[in-house]
Amino acid sequence: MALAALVVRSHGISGADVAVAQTGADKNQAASYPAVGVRTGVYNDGQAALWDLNLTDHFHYFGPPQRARGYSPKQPIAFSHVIHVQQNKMECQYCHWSVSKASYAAIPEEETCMGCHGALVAGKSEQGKKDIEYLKDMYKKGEPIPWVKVHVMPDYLKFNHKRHVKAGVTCQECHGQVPEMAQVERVSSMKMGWCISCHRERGASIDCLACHGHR
Amino acid sequence: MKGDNGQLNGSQSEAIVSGAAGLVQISRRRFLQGLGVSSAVGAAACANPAEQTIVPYVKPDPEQIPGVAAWYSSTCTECSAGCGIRVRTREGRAVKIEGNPNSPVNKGSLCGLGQAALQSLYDPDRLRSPQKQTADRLKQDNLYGPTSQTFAQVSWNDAYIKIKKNVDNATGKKVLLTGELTSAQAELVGEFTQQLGFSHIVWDPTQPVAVAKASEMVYGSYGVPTFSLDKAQVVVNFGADFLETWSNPVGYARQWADSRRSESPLRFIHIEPRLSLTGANADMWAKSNVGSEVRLALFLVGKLIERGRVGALDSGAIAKLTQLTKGITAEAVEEETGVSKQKLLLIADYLGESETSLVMAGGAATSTSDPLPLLVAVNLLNVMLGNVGKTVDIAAMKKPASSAQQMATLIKDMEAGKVDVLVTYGTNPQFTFPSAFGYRGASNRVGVTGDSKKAGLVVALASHLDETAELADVVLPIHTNLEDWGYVKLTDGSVSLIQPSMRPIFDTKSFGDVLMDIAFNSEKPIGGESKSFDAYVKAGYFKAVGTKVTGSADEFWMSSLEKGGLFTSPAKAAPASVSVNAAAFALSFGIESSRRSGGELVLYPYPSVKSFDGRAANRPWLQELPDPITQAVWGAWAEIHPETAKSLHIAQGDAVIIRTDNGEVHVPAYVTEHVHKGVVAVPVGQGHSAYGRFAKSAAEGSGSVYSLLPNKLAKGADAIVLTGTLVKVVRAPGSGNLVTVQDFSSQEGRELARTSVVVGGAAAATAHAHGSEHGGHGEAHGGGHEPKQMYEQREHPVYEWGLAVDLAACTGCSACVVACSAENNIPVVGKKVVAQGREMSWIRIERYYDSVPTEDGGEELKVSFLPMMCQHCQNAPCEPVCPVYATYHNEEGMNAMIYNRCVGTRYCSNNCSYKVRRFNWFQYEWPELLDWQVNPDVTKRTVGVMEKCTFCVQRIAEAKDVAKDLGRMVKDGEIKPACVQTCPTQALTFGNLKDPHSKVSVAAKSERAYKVLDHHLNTQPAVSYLSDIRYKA
Repeated sequence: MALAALVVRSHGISGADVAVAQTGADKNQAASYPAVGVRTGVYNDGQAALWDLNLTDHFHYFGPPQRARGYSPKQPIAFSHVIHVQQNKMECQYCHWSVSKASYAAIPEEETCMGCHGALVAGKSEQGKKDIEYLKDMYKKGEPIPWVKVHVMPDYLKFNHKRHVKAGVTCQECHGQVPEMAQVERVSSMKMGWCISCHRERGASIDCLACHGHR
Repeated sequence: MKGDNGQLNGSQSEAIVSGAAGLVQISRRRFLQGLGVSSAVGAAACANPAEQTIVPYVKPDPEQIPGVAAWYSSTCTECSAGCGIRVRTREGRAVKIEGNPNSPVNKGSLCGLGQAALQSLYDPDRLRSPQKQTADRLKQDNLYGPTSQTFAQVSWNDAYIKIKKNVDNATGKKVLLTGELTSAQAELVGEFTQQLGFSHIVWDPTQPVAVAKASEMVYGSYGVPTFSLDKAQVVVNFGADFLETWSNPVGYARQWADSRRSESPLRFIHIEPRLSLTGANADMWAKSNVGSEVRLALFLVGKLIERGRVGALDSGAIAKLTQLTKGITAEAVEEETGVSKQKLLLIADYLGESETSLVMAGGAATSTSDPLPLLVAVNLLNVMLGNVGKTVDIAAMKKPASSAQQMATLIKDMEAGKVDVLVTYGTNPQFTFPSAFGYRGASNRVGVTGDSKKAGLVVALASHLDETAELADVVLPIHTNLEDWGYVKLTDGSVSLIQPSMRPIFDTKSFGDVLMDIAFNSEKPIGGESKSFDAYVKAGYFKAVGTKVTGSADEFWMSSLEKGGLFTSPAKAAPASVSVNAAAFALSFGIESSRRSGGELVLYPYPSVKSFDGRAANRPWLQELPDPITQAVWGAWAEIHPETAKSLHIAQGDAVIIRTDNGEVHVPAYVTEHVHKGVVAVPVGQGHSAYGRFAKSAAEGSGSVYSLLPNKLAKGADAIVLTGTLVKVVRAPGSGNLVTVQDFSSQEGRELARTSVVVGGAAAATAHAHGSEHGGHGEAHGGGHEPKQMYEQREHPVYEWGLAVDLAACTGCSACVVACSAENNIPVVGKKVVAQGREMSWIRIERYYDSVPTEDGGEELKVSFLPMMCQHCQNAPCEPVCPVYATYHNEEGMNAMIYNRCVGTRYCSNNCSYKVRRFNWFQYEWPELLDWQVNPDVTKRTVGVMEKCTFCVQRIAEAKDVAKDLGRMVKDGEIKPACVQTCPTQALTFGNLKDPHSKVSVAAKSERAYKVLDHHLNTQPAVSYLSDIRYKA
């Protein structure tokens, strides 16, 4: 986890510097994250305020469950980040390559999956074998896998992954310890108060137009 | 929406999926649902509205980073000007068209029509698969042909088999009827007609063929010359609407504006019977009798001979002209043309005294039954004034191929059963050729002799089921220009490439490929080595550029595609020798004798920026665009002079019937002083009976102007007679459903749009604020003393965004309005909702009629256009009244609007002094397919929310994002909001007001700069206006 190791909190850092820092990180360092639960390292424990506690999340007082912490939908493929990242030590950006290039983090293309699963890796478990066959089948048909979106954001805001990555925000500050998730779960409320408090703390813009008014 | 998708067949669904290939993060849930259904996966996953799928690419597209736009250079083919375009695509979909800055034609700008080509691509009523006519057309009545309900889907193969059979067995004529083609298409058509024995006929009513013919008579070669307005001191124009639709509107608008804001602006005189947008920008607008312009031109010829300015004319020609102009006095011409003697003499003086000038004629003035005398006289004027080779370039001429004569002959041949196969493409003669010629009946008689039902075949190659395609036996769906390959050879030797900006949406083929397929099937292959049209285009491009290839062929090809073609800097117009054809002097330079009888008016159809010749009627953006002059939306209208209207008992908005022996048209009346008393002016291009839901609903069954026209062609020129038909105008019961967005024309002394008058012929240095002549404002309020401020003044630590609008350059063409709609997902609400004052456009062009003083103490009409968008006031009246802080002022000087905070009290709109805030009274949704155009960078607003101009905040954010990556500030000129980007005259400037050297700062400090209503209200807008410049006539 190159990004996990990279906790750059300086602001106004130029893009070039970050790029150097990222590529310069030792790959073996990646495994050294503190493996003590999915919310470790999440900014403000993932909650914005009092009304953002686990209890309110549980009863879904505010908004649909798809927008609350703990949302962990079943995926068409039982893709496990534990196997890929924790055990096989793949870097986040190997698959989510556009995260530092665009506002979208992007789900990897099927071809990326097929790079390994096309010929080399057929899966160990029964479920794994089945899923890899499904992947191959979809790839052959030229159909995309309909992943279910975990971090659903409303239409009226702009979130730019690139800017956050380049400012040194680590993946798990928002997404939690994904390497430990067999099924990805939303661990942060991602409510506005939660965003704002981090922006305040780090001196980032708190102008409404920074996130709203466009996408 | 699901139902709609359900009707698509398998192959279409695939096309949608491949076109959409892998959207990663999707803004519009409904759209995603549609995608899910059509790809037959994930339908169940979308059961919960909050649950969304996130669909990856199957294979990565090396040209696409999800979330980052990819741009493709191409060429616009909406009209034949050949503007370069750049198409912005997101995740494989075209979302916006902008001008290509590399193109010498339009230099990065684009008109509304070109931008609205997107809505042609995404027309929900596009042809999606090959169709065949099921009704027996031989049984059809000549007047009422088959309609679209009688079509059934066929496969491409079956269609080809049918075509092959008919092409191979045809004994009569085989005809390919097209519109103006791109160069690549024309070259292929040349091979096709030769190989398969087709004859090729071109019909495009917008082509200035009469101008080309008159060039032949005076300059010696057929074609439309290239004009240089920027090099002329005086431009006298007889009706050529070069700022709207004529010839090369974007290019000429740029030239015009460059001159108008320069140290020595050109003086512009426009003569026409009805105030056009072009006329509205003139220093002197002269309202003439229809068809009398030739007398005025001849008067000018006479005056120049008097002055001895005869240029390159030989003594024989001068003698003939002296003879012709004998007895043409100012008094006589005043009587004949209706233009005052004073004006006539002034025009003669201006022309006679100028070193370089330009005389033009075109548009409706040259669509009369006898256009040549005027055009010849105009060309002679240019010769006498020495303009040929200076402002008139006869070396670079565009040669229109359109022929009304051949079209008329074709119809006769079809009626007589002499035509066995008719293939149509890119032209709509059933709509645009006067219906008195009887195309509909003739189309039904293709391949029929007497009563024998020999099998003839009418094939329409079309993207949309228009009136002509509806008459065909087989309709093959064709790519739109945005899905096709090609190139256009420009007159200056440049080659502008056309490349697809997205994969075909439906089961369509390229026009070139269809021709190649038909030829191949008949064992007469065309295209040489090339197996497909894209290969043919590539080969043709390399042939066209010849030795100009640099680097390896592949590199050159890729860089050409990126740039948009190979653009050479235009050669300077060489002085050319002119040989005047003796026939030119033998023309009759009189006025047509047919005087109108009581109650009859002269029909004056004109092309409008909204509908062109009818091809633009299926674009909702253009339908809802207020006409710059009348401010009317959706459909056509009839402009009538108040006195005439009174005598006919017609009031504003009444339904009127315009009638000739050939047909009638039902339109609302628009009563205006700025039209000749004897004239009824109607925009052409509306009144469709087919061509998709928008064209049809705009028509409201009104009927087309072309149906009024007589069964005759123009004398001497290969054109139809548009102008001058005598019509009866009567009032019909009820209201005509006229909807305008601006019912007033006076500024009521508020000095919204100001004018600086350049006294006499002196240069702009003597510019005075128009207002100061009427009792001192402007300056006094602008500088003088600082008004007391009630609110705390804002600080802008880094950026302060501002806009400057140069009214001297703004022509009112409304390209910015279309650009804004495209960029900002502005809904089209329809005529009924606009009538309730609920239009949604963020920018509008206000039009005011004022007057400027003339030197002799009189007054000259002055039309002002005022682009009005959110002024981003420092002291914004909207901000303090918002109870929920949904609108506020940010640190970058912008008046921000946060949709998700807005609760819809509409207080802000109430308090806005500029009426620029728009409220979503309903949830507006695009019909399926048009929603593909929606810009993913801009939030789609929901019902109950206020919205307004944001200075294209998404573009500001993008530029800041890029600048931050590079570790610097945003540079001046990097941010171009959609309106600024597209403006054909570069009248708009955007930038950082904090930077004293930025273009916008300089403009805002100009002595012409002022702020609208600021001196009354102290709103302190961030938008500065630069007052218009006019000559004292």
